[in-house]
Amino acid sequence: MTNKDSIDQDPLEKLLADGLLSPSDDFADKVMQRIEREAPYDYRQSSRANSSVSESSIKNTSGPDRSGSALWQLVALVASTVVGASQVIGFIFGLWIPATVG
Amino acid sequence: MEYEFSNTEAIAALAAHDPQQFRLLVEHYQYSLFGFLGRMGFSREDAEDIAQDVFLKVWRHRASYDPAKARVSTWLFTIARNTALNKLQGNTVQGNKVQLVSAHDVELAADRYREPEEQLQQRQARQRLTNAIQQLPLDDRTVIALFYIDELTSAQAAAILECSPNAFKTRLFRAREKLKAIFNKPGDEQ
Repeated sequence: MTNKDSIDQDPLEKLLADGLLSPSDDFADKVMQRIEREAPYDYRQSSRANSSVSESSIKNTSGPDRSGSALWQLVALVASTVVGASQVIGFIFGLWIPATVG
Repeated sequence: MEYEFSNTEAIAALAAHDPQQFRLLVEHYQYSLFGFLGRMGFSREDAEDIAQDVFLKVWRHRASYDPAKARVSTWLFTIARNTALNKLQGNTVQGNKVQLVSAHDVELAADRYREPEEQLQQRQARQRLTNAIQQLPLDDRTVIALFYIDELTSAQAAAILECSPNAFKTRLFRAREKLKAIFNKPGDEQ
């Protein structure tokens, strides 16, 4: 039995039971926005943990993409290093040959 | 929109760690919480801030909630009571006066459906009640504010105040007598 069931409905009791304030229509939105703002890490972790199957499948496909792009970056770095080094060696060799011939 | 929300569903909403589930909990308890804060004598503006603080605390500490110790409503209104008292006492210490409910604040969603004259009478009656509540000591206000929460039984309200159900009834009786005396005092009508 709740408290309300046990009270007689005289005007004062009715006023107290009705309440003096009620929330605005967008109160729940404001609460959730504040939680997202003030507890962002916790909020995002929770959102992520409870994301839908489609969202998780998107994440699963994004994983290999991310590691693939890292691999390509490494290949590009090695290739550019080799090209750069060969340019420097060619330049030095180019100076060295005339010097030794002369 | 208010709908039935059992304690089991409330526990599930906390345990899920899911913002969407938590929102359902907010939507359910917001009405009782605003009712409680109104009976504590807060203005709409202060009530909005405190209610947000309460739900933020509930969200942050949801992992520490123990269903074996208390119902969700008891736990939530313990946080609400402490937050409300901190606000009232903090403002007293700092010398700032908490904004009290004005005639403009005192309104209910049900007013939209009432006739203007009845609406006016209701507004005046609520204003009188608010003035009377504001003359009560904080302990008495808290007892009355908790008693009228639908989701709480007297035993649960007593648990929030850390007293026995019998002690709660005694305190409630005295508080209501004081409130009735102030409310029915002829000079207080506005």
